[in-house]
Amino acid sequence: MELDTLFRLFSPQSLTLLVLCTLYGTLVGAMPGLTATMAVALLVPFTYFMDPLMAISAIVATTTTAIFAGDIPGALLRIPGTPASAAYVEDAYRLSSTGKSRSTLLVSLLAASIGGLVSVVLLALIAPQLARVAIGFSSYEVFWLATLGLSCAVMTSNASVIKSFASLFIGLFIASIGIDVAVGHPRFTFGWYELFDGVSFIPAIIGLFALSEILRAVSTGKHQPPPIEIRETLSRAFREAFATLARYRSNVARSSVAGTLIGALPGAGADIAAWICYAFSRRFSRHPDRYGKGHIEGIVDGGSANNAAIGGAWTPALVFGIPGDSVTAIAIGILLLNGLSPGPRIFTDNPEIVQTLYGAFALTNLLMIPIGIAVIVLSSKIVRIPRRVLMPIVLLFSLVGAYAITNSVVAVWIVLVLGILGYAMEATGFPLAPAILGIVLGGIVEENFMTSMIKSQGNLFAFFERPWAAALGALTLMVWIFLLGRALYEGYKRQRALSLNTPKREP
Amino acid sequence: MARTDLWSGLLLMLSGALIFWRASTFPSMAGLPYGPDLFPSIAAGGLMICGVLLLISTLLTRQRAAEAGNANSNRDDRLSQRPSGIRRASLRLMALILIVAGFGLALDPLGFHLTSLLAITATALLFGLNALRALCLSVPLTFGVHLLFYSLMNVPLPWGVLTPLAW
Repeated sequence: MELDTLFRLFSPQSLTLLVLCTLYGTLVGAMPGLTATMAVALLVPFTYFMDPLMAISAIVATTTTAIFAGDIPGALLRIPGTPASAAYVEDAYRLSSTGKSRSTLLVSLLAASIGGLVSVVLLALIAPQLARVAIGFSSYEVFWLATLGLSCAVMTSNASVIKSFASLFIGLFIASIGIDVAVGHPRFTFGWYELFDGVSFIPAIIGLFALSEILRAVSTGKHQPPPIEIRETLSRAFREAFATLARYRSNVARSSVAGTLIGALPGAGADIAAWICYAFSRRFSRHPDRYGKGHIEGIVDGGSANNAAIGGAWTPALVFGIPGDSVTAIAIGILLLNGLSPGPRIFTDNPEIVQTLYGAFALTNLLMIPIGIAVIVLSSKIVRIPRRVLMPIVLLFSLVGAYAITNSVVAVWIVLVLGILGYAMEATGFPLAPAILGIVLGGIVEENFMTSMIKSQGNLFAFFERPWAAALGALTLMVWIFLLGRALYEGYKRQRALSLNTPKREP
Repeated sequence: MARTDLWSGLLLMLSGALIFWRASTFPSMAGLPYGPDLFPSIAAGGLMICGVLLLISTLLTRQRAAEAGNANSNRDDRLSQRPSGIRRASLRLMALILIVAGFGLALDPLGFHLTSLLAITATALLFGLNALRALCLSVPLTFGVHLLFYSLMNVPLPWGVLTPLAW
């Protein structure tokens, strides 16, 4: 890392920003019902007014800590603060019920910090190598990469294949609103000139991730259970946490690496990494029967995996400009707004961005430890902040934040429409991640398709003529075949489950 | 779930068809078989296919469920959802949507300060704060957002009817 970047990272201004964002991320993550993506969505209007280096640091700091802090309401209220904590919420809650809340949270804090550090080292090792390959990519390869990213988003989603595809197409449709890239025809703008540039990205994500949560909160309106009392002293909790981590050190190592790799898959974020590593941990454990009943081992795995995934998600984002999850999708949007396009050339043209990213990651994962300990000590007070106070605040910040980007009321309408869409999709079991990737990648897919078409004068086979393009294209087609197979299997399973439910007439 | 799947399938099909119809009116590019209508048409086609598949699979499942005599479980579902609770939830949902829509409509004519005072007070009331506490929340919040966005970040928040008082 160059000295200049290092100095800038450790300047009082940047350190203050990192500490503030770490605090903000921890607080938002710790509040049940406010997710990590929502934390970033609300932060985005502010990053718009910062320089790109600061903006990247702010986003990195916020997500890293928000993912960890999501464990806090999980342990104390059995409500995962972010979806990434859902995999092991049962274990964490049961451990807390037996009075071990502090040591449990310390274990997940330290595991998260280690996972994050491992992932940034892997990112720094892998990304430049990949970039060396990617630098020779033309519009054909980029088209396939973006298409592959979209297909992976469908593949890694937890919902049914049909619904994930539907969500993707909704995103692609939203991306196609505005002036088209080929001939400049306004599409679906209905004469609103504010829509000529397309649906503004930031109001769109604020609607999908922030307003939709507020709508859900108002429609459920249920009261929170009281949090579990903390009965452990801090020093005892520390001793216990260190002993646990030492006992399961191989789990930490395994899940940190696996989490990074899963996170690097486009569309698979922290939540999926946590689920997969938790399941892995259970399979290899000596006590698989204890999982889900208050066993710390799964928390070690899930906790390190979900934070490692955040670093991993940046790999495709930096190298190819293809986001790994919804948060990096937002980050790419911010880089684009600042006139920087992520891709292999960023390693040579703007190395300071890449270095700042590594540095911010490492620093946040270290800063997270003292701030996380402070928040764990105060945790039972934080999770008690009532939603009826929180939600009006979040609402105003969403609306004004969106307005700040476009300086026009159209932003408010975009937030409203996409907020209702996001709420309806979540309520009916459609995943949001494919839609957000569709919004970000739709433009890239179309632009590169059109460029390729003009270059090859309408010859579709040109998409398979270059070696990397052919390989990526073949991979994409394989993902599609796999998805088709899975959709058929899902349908078969559904029918079978029903016929098994029929009352048997056997004696 | 079956009923919402049925409706979402129908909705996907309809919106897909609408988008497809609109996209077919777009001009094409000279000399190329693909124009601005290609991507919206792909998205629309995808939406329609997903809608049809969702509809078919839901109907098949329903039929099977009916054959299997699973009607009991359906009735249980409906009982456990309590109609009065659902009605209240959707009323609260509608109210919040109206508040946001009102915010959008009133922002330019009324100005940011009055609009957000009203909107935040209303939201706080909706979430169950009493009137006094709602005001205690909305007044400092509006002022804080003004300082943060208008004074610090130079976002031109509209003053509306308060323009003579602008500072």
